[in-house]
Amino acid sequence: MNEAVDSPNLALEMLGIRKVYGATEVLHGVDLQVRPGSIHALVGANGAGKSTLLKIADGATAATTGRILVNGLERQFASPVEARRSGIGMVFQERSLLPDLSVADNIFLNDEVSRAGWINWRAEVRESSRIFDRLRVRISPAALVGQLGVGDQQMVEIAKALRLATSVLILDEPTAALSEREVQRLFTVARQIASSGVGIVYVSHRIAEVFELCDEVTVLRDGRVVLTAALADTDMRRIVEAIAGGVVREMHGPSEARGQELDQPPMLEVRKVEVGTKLRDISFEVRPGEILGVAGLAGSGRSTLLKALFGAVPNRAGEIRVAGRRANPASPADAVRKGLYLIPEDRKTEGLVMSHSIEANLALSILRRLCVGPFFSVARSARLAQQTIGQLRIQTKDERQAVEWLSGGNQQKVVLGKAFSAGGRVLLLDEPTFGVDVGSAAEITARVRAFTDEGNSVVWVTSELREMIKVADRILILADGTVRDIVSNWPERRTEPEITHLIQPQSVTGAASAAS
Amino acid sequence: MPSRAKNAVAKNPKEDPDASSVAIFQGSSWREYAYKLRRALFASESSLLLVLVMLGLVIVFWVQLRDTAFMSTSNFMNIVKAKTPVAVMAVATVFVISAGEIDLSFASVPPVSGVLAALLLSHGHGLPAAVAAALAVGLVVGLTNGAITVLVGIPSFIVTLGMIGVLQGAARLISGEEAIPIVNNTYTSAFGTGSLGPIPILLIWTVGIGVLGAVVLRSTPFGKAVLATGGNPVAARYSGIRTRRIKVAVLVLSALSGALAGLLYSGQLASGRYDLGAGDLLTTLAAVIIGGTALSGGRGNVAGAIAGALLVGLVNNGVILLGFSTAQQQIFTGVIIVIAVALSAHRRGQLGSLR
Repeated sequence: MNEAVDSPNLALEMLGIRKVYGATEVLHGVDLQVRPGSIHALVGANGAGKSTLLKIADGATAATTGRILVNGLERQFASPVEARRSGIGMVFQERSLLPDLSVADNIFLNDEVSRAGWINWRAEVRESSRIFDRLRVRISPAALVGQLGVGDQQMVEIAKALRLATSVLILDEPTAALSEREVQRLFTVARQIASSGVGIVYVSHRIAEVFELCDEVTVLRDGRVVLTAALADTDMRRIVEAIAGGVVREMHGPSEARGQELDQPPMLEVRKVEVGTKLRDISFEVRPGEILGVAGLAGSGRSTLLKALFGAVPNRAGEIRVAGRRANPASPADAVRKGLYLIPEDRKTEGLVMSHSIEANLALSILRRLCVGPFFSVARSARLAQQTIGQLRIQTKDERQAVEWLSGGNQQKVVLGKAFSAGGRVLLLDEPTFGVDVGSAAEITARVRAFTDEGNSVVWVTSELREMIKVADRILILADGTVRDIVSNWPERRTEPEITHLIQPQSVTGAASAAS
Repeated sequence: MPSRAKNAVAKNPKEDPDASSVAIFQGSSWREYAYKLRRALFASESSLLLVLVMLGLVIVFWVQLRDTAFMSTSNFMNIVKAKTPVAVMAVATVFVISAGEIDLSFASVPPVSGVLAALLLSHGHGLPAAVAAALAVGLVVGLTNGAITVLVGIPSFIVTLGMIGVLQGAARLISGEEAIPIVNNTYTSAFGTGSLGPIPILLIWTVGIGVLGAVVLRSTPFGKAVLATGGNPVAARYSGIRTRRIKVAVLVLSALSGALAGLLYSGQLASGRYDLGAGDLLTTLAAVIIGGTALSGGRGNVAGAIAGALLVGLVNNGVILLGFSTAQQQIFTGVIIVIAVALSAHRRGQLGSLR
């Protein structure tokens, strides 16, 4: 580590990077300097220009002007292949592995070790094992990638990038899909890689992670660097303010009136719900005005539970009642009609018609209500859209903008607006702030709280325990497909370690707490 | 500077379209101008560029065929009449493709519905029975396509591919591979040769179905649901749209349009034949795609599809008048489809790179 810091050259230096797309300039002269052996956080709201900067570093697109130096040597990349050759490796947000090939095949994809045209599989396995040894993880190079867990797949992805990344490794939101335990393993591996002299660029929305793992931070806002600092010299508030531009609003705590509402009859009752082998014996209630958090590790059945309540999975057994009436939705359409609404986990593939306008998306759940006679009223729909844009503060030119051009936070607000206009009483939220910038996340939370303050109910699934503790009134602990416990989180708050401990699978609880 | 614009985007749709032009258009006003022009050419809802090319072709024909009948009103009217069944099927196909499905069997319905109507008439049944039976064929075919697609979960592409064989065989079987003459004057005039005052009945069919289709797609909940289902079926379903019903509905519409096309063909020819509308699958798809309906679903243009049908008819007609054979004209239509799809895919790439 010391030796690396003393070296005069930076692992990666990007100077005065400008990028112009069409008539818009998305990067206005950005500098990024990554020392060898350090972990450098790159943070910023959606649309701040992180992705574009990464694409330029990775050779996927060219900067309009600006210079890139790797280990002090000026480079120009015409393609990702050339970036690899210069020693820059990238681990993408989207998984790029082929599930039906072995680990070794994936690591050497498109760059096979071959002898006379035949792939030298043994050499590939040997080399793969060496990389895993270096990372200190145990994964068999012969295993099929599709049979590995998410965390292990990520390790394969890192190994693949690391094979060629001798100077710089870029990790784009690597913890997004990982459980708490896998995150810790990833951190260990990242530190291991840094200690071998590689400079790491670490992109994340989770600021707490950045403080835990990184040495330095660069904050982007609207295509400019607004803060570069050693993490030791800064604090969470400064970073959050730099990201959001000083407009961070306080997260809403549970409202004061909460206690009285708990005496009212439940808004949502779930009795002995079962889904195949994934969920069994799920029973709980949510009162009017209440947010019930659902905590559980990846694979505990969180998303399946929400989809089951929404009528989106077949073979559900048990009973679901909304506002005292039997609902048992047979389909999402049925669920919407009976007052349930799901904000799905992936807004791009499940929540929005990306190529359609904000207006068209907001109208989807209430097509009939926007009609005058048999005809869909464009005027009504536009009025509704303008109202929603104003209320939820969606940043856009107008309501005819296609949602694919909006930032993640604004897209999520459109999904939320759709849900609110549908007029349901029970909102089912699946990771509503995932990949959303800090400012929008706070606004979304505030909106949901305002929704419950009107006497509605919310079931909130999130893997960010910090968020869970802030928003939930009670927390349902989901483990191995069943309810382990329902704990109160109001007026007294739970702590993160407490919840982390509760959600561990029974068999490994001891081991996990020993490890941490 | 359309040529520069074309070069810049032709390079690689995923790449930054302005990489090369930025250096040249340093002044922002120039850049904006070129940018807007490119968007107008490639990213508008109708594939404007292709329409321009086709219109260019028509002008070439006009110059070449000045002394022939090409540009006469009567020739144009003949094209409109001849392409009425295609225009009708194109309107329904806009719904199918906008909903993210594809129907290959609609153009095989006309022989069955046309022959069946002719048979019923020749056996002394009345016009209502003949029309009802023909439309019932469409309903059954559409429901079958839809039910198999939705319940078994096979792509509509495959289901309707199989349906082609069934329909073609059925048409040969019930017709005995012979033309069945139609002597009912009301029938031939309603679906073929008649006119309302000076306006030919076939033009009324085209305009009527076109207006109906455009209104339904643009201004009814059903139309909005179709577009949403094609744009993102999961998001549409989670928004409370009954996407399976939508899929069945568009496939029924499509087969019904084929049944109607069978009536229109048999009315014009005053006979039902097992080869009615041969080659219409290709022509109809070309019309729809040229008209600006995205093959990826979620975007549809009914008026464009009708204009596309007429444009394809016009170009085909010109090609024949220029002395090319029907075979050569078929090749031409095939090439047009591929170019149209390539251009529409290109437009999406262009938009994608702006993200």
